[in-house]
Amino acid sequence: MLNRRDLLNHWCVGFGGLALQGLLSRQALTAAAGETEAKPAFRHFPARAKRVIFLFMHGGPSHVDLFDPKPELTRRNGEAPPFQRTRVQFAERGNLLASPWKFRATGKSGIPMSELWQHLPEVADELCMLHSVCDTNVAHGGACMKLFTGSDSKLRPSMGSWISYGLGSENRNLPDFITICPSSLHGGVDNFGSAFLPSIHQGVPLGEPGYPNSLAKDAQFRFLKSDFASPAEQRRQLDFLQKLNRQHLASRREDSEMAARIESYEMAFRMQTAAPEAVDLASETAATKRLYGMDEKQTENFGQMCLLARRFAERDVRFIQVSHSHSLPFNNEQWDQHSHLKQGHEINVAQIDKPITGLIKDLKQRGLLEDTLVLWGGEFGRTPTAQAGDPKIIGRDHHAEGFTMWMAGGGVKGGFRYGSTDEFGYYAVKNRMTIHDLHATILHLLGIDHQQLTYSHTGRDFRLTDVYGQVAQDILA
Amino acid sequence: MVGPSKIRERMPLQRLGFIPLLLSVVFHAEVGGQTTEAQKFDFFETKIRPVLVEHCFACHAAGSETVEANLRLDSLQGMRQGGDNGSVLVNRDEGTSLLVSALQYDAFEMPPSGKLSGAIVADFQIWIEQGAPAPQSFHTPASSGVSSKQQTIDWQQASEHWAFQPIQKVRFPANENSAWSQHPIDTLIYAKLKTAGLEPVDEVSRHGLLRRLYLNLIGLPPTVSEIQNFIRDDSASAYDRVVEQLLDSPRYGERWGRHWLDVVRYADSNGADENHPYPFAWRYRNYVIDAFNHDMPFDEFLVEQLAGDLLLQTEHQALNNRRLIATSFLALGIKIDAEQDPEKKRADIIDEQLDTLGRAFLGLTIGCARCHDHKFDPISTDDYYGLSGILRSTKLENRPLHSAETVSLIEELKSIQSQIEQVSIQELKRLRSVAAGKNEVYLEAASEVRQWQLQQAALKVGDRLSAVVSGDTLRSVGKVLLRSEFQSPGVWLDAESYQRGEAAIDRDNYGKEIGIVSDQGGGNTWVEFDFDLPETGIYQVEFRYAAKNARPGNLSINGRLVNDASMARVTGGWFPDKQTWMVEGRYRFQKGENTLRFDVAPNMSHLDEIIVALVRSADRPQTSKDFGAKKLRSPEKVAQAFGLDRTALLAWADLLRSGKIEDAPTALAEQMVASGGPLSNVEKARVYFSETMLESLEALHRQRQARSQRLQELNEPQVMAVADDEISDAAVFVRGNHRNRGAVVPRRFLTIVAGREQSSFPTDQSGRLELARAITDIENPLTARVIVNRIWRWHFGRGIVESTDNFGLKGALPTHPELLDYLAGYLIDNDWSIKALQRLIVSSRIYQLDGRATEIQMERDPENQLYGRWPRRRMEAEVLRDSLLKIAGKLELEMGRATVNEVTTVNPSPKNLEENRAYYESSHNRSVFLPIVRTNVFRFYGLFDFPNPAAPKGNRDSTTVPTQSLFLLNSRWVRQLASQWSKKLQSSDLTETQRIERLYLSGLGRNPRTEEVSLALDFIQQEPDAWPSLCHSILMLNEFLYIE
Repeated sequence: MLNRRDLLNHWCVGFGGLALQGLLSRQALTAAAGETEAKPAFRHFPARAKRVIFLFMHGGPSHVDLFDPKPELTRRNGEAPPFQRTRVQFAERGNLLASPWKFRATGKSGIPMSELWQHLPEVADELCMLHSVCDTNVAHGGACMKLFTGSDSKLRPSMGSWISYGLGSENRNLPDFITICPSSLHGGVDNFGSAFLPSIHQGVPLGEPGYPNSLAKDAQFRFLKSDFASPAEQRRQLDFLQKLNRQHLASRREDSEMAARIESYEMAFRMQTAAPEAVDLASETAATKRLYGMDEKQTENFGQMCLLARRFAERDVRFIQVSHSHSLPFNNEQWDQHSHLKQGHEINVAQIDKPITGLIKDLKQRGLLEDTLVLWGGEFGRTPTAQAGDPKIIGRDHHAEGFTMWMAGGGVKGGFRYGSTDEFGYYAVKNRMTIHDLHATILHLLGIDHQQLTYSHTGRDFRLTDVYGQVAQDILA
Repeated sequence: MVGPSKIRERMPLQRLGFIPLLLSVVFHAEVGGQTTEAQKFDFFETKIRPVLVEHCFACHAAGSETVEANLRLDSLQGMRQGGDNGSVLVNRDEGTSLLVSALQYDAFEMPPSGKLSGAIVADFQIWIEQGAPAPQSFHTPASSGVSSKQQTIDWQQASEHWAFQPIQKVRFPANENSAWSQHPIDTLIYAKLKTAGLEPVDEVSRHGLLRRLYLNLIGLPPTVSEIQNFIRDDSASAYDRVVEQLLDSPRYGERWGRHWLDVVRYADSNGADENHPYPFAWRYRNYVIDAFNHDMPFDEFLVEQLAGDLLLQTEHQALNNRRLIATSFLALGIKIDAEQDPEKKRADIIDEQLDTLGRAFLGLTIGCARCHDHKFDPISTDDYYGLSGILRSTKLENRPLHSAETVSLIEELKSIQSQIEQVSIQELKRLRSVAAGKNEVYLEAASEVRQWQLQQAALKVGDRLSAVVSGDTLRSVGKVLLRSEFQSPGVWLDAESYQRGEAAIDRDNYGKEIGIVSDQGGGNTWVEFDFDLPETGIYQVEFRYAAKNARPGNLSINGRLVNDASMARVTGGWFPDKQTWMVEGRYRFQKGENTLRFDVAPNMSHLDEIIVALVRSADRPQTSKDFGAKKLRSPEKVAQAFGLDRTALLAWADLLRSGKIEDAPTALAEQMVASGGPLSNVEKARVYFSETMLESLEALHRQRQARSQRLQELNEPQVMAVADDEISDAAVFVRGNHRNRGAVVPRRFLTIVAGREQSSFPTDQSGRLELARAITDIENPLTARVIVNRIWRWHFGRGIVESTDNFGLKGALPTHPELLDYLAGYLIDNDWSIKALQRLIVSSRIYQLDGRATEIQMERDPENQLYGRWPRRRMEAEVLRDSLLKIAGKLELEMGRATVNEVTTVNPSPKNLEENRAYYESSHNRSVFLPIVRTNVFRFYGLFDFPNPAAPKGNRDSTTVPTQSLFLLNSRWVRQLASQWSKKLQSSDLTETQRIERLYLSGLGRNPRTEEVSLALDFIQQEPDAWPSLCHSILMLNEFLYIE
């Protein structure tokens, strides 16, 4: 018993028509198959955003050191927390720990940022701070799975896959969901996998997923080039192959699958030139590269990823993920400062501050920011309490009960602060935003009702938000 | 954190009486603003209910052991009625709800374990201000303590669903066409075609038939000579002979076992967050292949997978091992390794097991009933937790596979153990009889000994050490560091220096720079330390370790378990800064070599160092002036003076220490042997044993140790398996929340299959065997239907029931219900023989049809639902790979083993992934033997629709996407195989035309047509060295990729 959506998908696969796994040239194919372009099946409201760029900060950035100032921590530095701690903790939590950095109000809106941020204040009035994200898992693996898929116990489709499935494609040359230099840790490939959704919706990695992650300069799509046959040789081979295939098909009467496979060879051949263009930065000016910090060693890598993200956004890729996810000498994951909070966060902000600011400015100047939702954040925050006793290397543990992410563009209020944590930055207090709420809100901005974006699997209609999720109406511009 | 029991202890019960009764509730009936009803319930479900569940239900719900203050917070009615102090929703006078007031730690301090955050209190305030909106289900209390059910199952109606109906005896339709009435399958298929006004197409060519049969039954194309032999053989039995030959081939099990591995979500790593390898999983994979090759009756196959460990018999070791291996089925699933909440982890693992066994064996989505009754199928939450109890009574563990030698060693160990017990019991009996002989005298003497002991205690190295001596027992002693005794003879060991064991040494993470020992992430963990001591005596054992949670284990000394809750304390964290020295107890060690063993399952505290130090000061006063004025006699002297047994006397002294001194001596003597008394059991009495007795016991221990060591040396192979755990029924987790326990449900099978009246499950076994028998009972119509449908699917590409893993109400209906029942009955009648069923299927004419549709078929049955022609489909990934290897002459056919060790699973770097890929591409083994690394499945497999091994998949996808084409065109690996094939063809002494004929025959299973020969000849003349390119092209042809 197929629903309409299933039929569409079967039909896609059968005729090679609408949405195909991996790198593909839809336009060419639909034209060849003589089909009309499909309308997205899930569009419940006018969309405020057409695409998402997710700047993923692997390891868990510390909200109380970056965006959520807590004078109470400074006042009561070193005291035991005067409230009940969470039942499930990763490590035992120590006493309250003041932030080593001062905060100041930035932009016209006065968004607070710690002095670590040198560039981001320039775009403060574009940012919509989400101070009350909460209710996720307290270990990296569970929290990453929860953030990316909504579940910390089952293998479920990732949000990029749901968005690919829900929106269909506007792009004819690239996948709907690209993840730039992803990590192989903490769920790895499953964090951009399509699980039970058709595999056409899975995220395509630019660069091998790994630990450590690929560097942007080495990142390539797979199998886009033959290293044993010249294009001319390959063309001759293809002509021979296709001639035999067509004879075979002719003797077989109608067989749509065989026809689709014949067409898929042609498409593959064309893609070999189309896709590399998207990742070729030769046409970018030196000024643009500088804007992203590509001229400085510490920002070169992340800057290149952000610039690639913009190029994919321009080409209407639906969901683009950029991972800030390497190791530091003293912590396994980039932002995971169980110890060396000061050193670690200084390095991390220095690597992303300029590239992210450049990305937002660049999107804005190109008119892309209004329909591109930029999302920044990690799988959780860090505890307002201390870890690793030695004051020289003091750090903070994983914190899942209240932390900050932010959005920009894509129909959210700029220079806006949504929700809050308590006076210690421990529990989200006002406008608590669970991961399900975050997903519901992202889908809403894309014009999708999260309760209606369903896929039937094993007899049940599954949702990204399971049976939960509330849209944060207050942040909508 | 404070657990529920602690919360109850700390309930300030007496305070409740002082609170004035609160008055009745006022509800704000109207709800203003834009908040809709649905959103308000969302608020309740996300902000209110979870808090109630987590913090209140332990004491204030139907499922609570005692409902404190008679207050139930599990329904609006309960809140409104309130408890001893009246309604908790609203106090009309003050406008504040008692509930909120208690949360604010005002009227009461609730929850007693600690004040909740301001955010949560604010949520409750908002909720109550809005009039406490909650869904209907929360209005009145649920009777069973389970959260109210949103819908109830109509069992009568549900039982009418086709899949739950008994398997029907099939009445064959009359059929005048004799060509289609010879075979039961043909008769049933033809009847439907006829009804639709359709005729089947002709049979496929003999070349085509042979290629189909080979690819379908063994997953490899026939060789040129196999084709030629078959074509030459024009006898009537030629086809049947090939069928038998293929069914008998070991290649058959490799092909059909792989189908089953899809169904049981087989993989060689745990997937999800950390992806640890499963180094023993391959044994199960090979077991499945063997089972298919040996045509194990399918019912037996299922029983072994669920309960093989409960069928062990001493005399058949090979059979026992096979059955243990079979239970890997339950252990192979995905697990979230780093989950910090052990209760959640356990519940998730059980859910995964239930979901898998439901879909794999029964075609039912049992997992859907975890949080509520199944929305569509007749599976209640009680059914789910009835099954859950069976798995909750089962634990996952790696188990050894015994050989004849190890079995006899184990028997000897048992016998030595029983000797040890016997000797000990005899000694205990002796002690009891002497100790009970002269009560009055012993009492008097013991009083003197106590005086001496107390004085000794005061003289010890410090107050805390004295607590050791005067404590309740000799072992539970808490944080004590024997600093002054470091000078004592003894050893100080680095934990990492262990001689034997299966424990992980960590110098990078938790043991940064110092090195610690802990578990390896699963299975049993153990370490053994050998060391020499200078004299026999009582030694104090101390561990330095870090533990965030209690992880008690067994401490054994010289093969003797001395403490089953060792290293059990919490030090506050896992990292070195939380390490603490802990005294584990005082035990007798011998002069010379000693062995200290610690074992724990599955997780271990982080052990850094060990001290074993002779305790002298505890036994002997230092100088006479330390005593003060009074000189007391030592226990030895007292015993001598009174003419008593010294050890019995010490037992008496210990009895006195327990504070019963005012009792009469006769009653005291009873206390000696009563529960908890010094001579109550061997374990307790051992400290009083005489030296000679201890020596003879030690001799036995040495014997035992020798055998244990031999067992160790034999290094028995391990298997992922299960064993029965503590047997108990499970409580319902209300709404799937493991923090909210509802009523306990007896273990049982599904109501819809086995009925309401089921015989109760055993109290001494998990019930897996009973479950397995219930699943394979021929009265259960699901199991046989589900497997015959799967077999049909794997022959024809589509099931008679298309949704192979879901026979529930949301699943597909059977296209040919009579055929399905006929096949199910046939399977059961043939002793569940899968091969018999397959002989039946491949001998039908339907199986041998051509794949080309007629015009009228395309019009009336475009999807081929009626099987009027062969349903052509693409090769699966493994068949494609094996065929490429075979054609290139590279396929190696030995049975694969533990290949997951060859690839990196945990935290792979791009380089590791590259190495993994190189490993896969250089392997020439059959595809079924390549390791399946979850989340990083061999890329080639992923491209060609290898199923995600997260869940059962009986119905693989078959997509057509350009990435497949890109791979086939550009992959060096494919090209190399094509080159190797081309070399093979070119090396033969043939003309180009003959070579092209061989190319077609070995690649496509048929001879080329004349025009195909000339096309190929043209192609190779176009450019130099075009043969590899020609072969490469053939391997990319639709005709090659599809099973026609």
